[in-house]
Amino acid sequence: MTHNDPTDDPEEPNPSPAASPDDASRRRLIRLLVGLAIGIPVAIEASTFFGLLSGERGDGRADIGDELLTDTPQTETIVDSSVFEGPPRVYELVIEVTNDEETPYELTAGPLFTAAGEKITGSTTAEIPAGETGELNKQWGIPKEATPAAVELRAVWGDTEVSERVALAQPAVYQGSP
Amino acid sequence: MEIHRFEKLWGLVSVLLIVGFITTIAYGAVFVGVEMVDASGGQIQADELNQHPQFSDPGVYQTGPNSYDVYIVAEQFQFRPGTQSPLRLPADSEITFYVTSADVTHGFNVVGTNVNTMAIPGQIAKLPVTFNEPGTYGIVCHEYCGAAHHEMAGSIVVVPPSQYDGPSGNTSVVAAPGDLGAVGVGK
Amino acid sequence: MTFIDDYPHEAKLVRYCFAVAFAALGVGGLLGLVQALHRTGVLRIIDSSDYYTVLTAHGVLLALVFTTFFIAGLFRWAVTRSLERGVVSQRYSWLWFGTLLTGTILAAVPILAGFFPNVPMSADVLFTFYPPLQAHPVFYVGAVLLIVGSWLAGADYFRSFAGWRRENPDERIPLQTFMVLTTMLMWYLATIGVAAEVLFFLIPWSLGLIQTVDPLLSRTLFWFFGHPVVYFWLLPAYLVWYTILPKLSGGRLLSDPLARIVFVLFLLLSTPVGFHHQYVDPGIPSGYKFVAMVNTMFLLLPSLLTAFTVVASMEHGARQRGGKGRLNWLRALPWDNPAFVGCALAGLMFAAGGFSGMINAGMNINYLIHNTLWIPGHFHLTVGTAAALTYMAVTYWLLPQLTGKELALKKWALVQPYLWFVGMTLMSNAMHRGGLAGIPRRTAEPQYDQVSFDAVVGSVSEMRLQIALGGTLLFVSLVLFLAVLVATWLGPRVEQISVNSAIPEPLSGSDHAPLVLDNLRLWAAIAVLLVIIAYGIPIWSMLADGPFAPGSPPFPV
Repeated sequence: MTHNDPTDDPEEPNPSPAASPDDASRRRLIRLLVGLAIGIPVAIEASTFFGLLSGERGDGRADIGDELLTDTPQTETIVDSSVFEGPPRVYELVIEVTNDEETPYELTAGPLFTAAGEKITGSTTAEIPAGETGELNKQWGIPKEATPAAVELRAVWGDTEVSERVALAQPAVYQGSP
Repeated sequence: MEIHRFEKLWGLVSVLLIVGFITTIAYGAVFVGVEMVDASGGQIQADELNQHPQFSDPGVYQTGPNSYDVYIVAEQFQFRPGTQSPLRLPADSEITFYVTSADVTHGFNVVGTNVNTMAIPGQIAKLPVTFNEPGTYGIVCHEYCGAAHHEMAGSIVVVPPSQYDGPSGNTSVVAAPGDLGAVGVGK
Repeated sequence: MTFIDDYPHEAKLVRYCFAVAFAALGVGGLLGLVQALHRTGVLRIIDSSDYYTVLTAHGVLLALVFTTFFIAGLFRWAVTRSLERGVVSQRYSWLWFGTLLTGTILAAVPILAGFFPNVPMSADVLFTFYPPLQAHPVFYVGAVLLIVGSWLAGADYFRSFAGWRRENPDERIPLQTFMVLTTMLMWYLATIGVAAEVLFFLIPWSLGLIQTVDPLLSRTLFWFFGHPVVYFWLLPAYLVWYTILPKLSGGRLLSDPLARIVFVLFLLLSTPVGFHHQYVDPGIPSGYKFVAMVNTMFLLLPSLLTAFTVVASMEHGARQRGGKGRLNWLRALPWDNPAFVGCALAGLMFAAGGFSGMINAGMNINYLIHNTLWIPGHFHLTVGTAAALTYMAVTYWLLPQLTGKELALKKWALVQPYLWFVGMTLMSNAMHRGGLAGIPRRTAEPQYDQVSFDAVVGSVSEMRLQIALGGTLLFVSLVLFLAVLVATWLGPRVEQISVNSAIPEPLSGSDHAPLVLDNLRLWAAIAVLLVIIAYGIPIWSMLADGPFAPGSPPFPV
């Protein structure tokens, strides 16, 4: 170890007790500290970075304008999802259905589930003939403070039946009634 | 003065990085057309909002077949409209927000979008916006404005264009841009 | 001979400055924990309306009191040491200390009175005190005295320098003093904005002498100051990284001239950038915002240059200690020295903070994160770690020299910076993510009936837990630091402290620095010119329609 300028000694760490086991335990402590201090932040940042790359935005909850039941050949789009304070306090869901198939199509919405896990019974079925566009409109009475979080959907056409519990984005809240 | 070779290289890369950043921002401003909020919204006297043709009755004003002016007053502790009743707007239309404050400085942020400005008493913030995606958007006030600041929020519901019924609750005054401007600002 | 023996008055002055600084850090840090647990919903022990009192105290105590007092003390040490002269007048030095302390008390009393509803005094206006929200007049007087006290402290350093210059007409300004003087010149320029705002507008307005103030003009004057203040906090950390960290690493600073260039660049560019805090403000033409953006991007240059020089100097030190290999030399650094560890980790974290700052500076990108939780995520990396952790770290090295006592509880001192680093990563990472989701800053309960936040990565509830956990770890780290301080202070004086206080000469010394770098008058003049270009016309037009118009009456908090 050479340096050109004899001005100074580099900083000397405070002399630790002479006994070797203390030295070894000190080195272990340093290794542990450095390891955790670098390792934990690297893990956090790496998982954030790869999470960003994986491109999953949002939590996939259905909002106004979103298409539902993408597996069905028919198109089901939410055109309104609103809470009305009333009284009575009501949640209204409106789904527009375009049935380009050759067979009639039946869509049922309900029951509704709140964010707190409560089930609100009640369902409506809309029948859309082949080649037509129709609308399903359902209102549920919901308690104060309850937020609609998911709705059970069932689609039937020909011999096929598809069911799905769809997560709902938080709806806007209006004063008055629908 | 001696500069190490590596440091010269590092300095060069740094300057290139900086110029690159400036270029991307300038690109966004000039070519993509993201405008900054500026002084073109004009000024207004915050305690005389009820003498302004639109701020006295804030809400949605249709100005063309597919364009709307939306006037919003921010005040302790609500957006008018937006808080008591959600704003309903059509997707894919030209919307111009005009935001001002009736009292102290508030923030106006449509969560999850780049619609983000300050509601400063005396100033009108003008933002041209197009919502490409229907959905329910939240509005938050993000500038401390008093003891109940954390309760100040609202929502904007953007519906597919075919579902929009037109502005409601306002006189549908078609206002040309030149009509707007400083009202009540005096010495 | 230790500093306390050579300069007993200066050592005492610095100790008093540090004592106030760390008392403010302790209280402010505790309040920060209260905030972190409150806004995440983990533990709420106060009303949400009191959150803003807590937040004001946190901001003022940490960003104004802790920083200013620490810097005043550090700078007095650095000037004394590098010029090898003490203060010109002991009475004068206590005068500036007393002014700073009086300002602190006058500002703190109304803030803390906000907790007691029966006391008719409050200052729940946050560290930025934007009108028309109005605090008690005593708060504004306190703020002004804090600024004036810092001006007086600066004059103290210039007086020592003038005395030295008379006796050393041809010598280069010693590097540490050069850094202090350039920082203070920047500070004098920067504080003009906030001093004008408070003296000419807010104090008369809060006393009822004028009826209205223009909120936009006030904001503009504040941010005239509000950006360079962060360099007031950062440049002392740079002083430590340039002049002390290489020695702690076992080596020497690579280049004195480059350090001088960096500080000159900060003097020139720190102030004409303030509009980048007002990118989304109405009433300001976008051309001035663009100019501020360009200046801000160039302000990256001195920091990027610093990164190179500091890391290269550390590498030099590591190789002196026997480190070998492309990257293996990192292991030869003194990771068992708390002063080294704090400075190194602070520097590392600053790189991350710098990058998130570049996002903030990106004019139209700023729309996405303005006033969201991203912003505190950013500045806790910069002032909260690059500055604060460096201040704590260098204190481990300075305290024995200032007190003549050995550092106590060394094991705790060693753990402290590592814990801070982990806690800050957790908290700041979650704050950045929360900001991208649109969660607002400065809000007691960012949980709304009408608004849901979509996390970009992870979930909002997981982010909240991460902030609470990170904040808790930071508080524990702070307690460790304060414990080391108190234990050291209570310990006995020793004959010979084991800290090696000598600082070796740089590898490339001041004689290699072009003379023009020491021409402080030139650089100050250019700095003023750049500010006039950036701010002249916009401020003129805000004044031209009436200095108090469009005006707002007070809204007392």
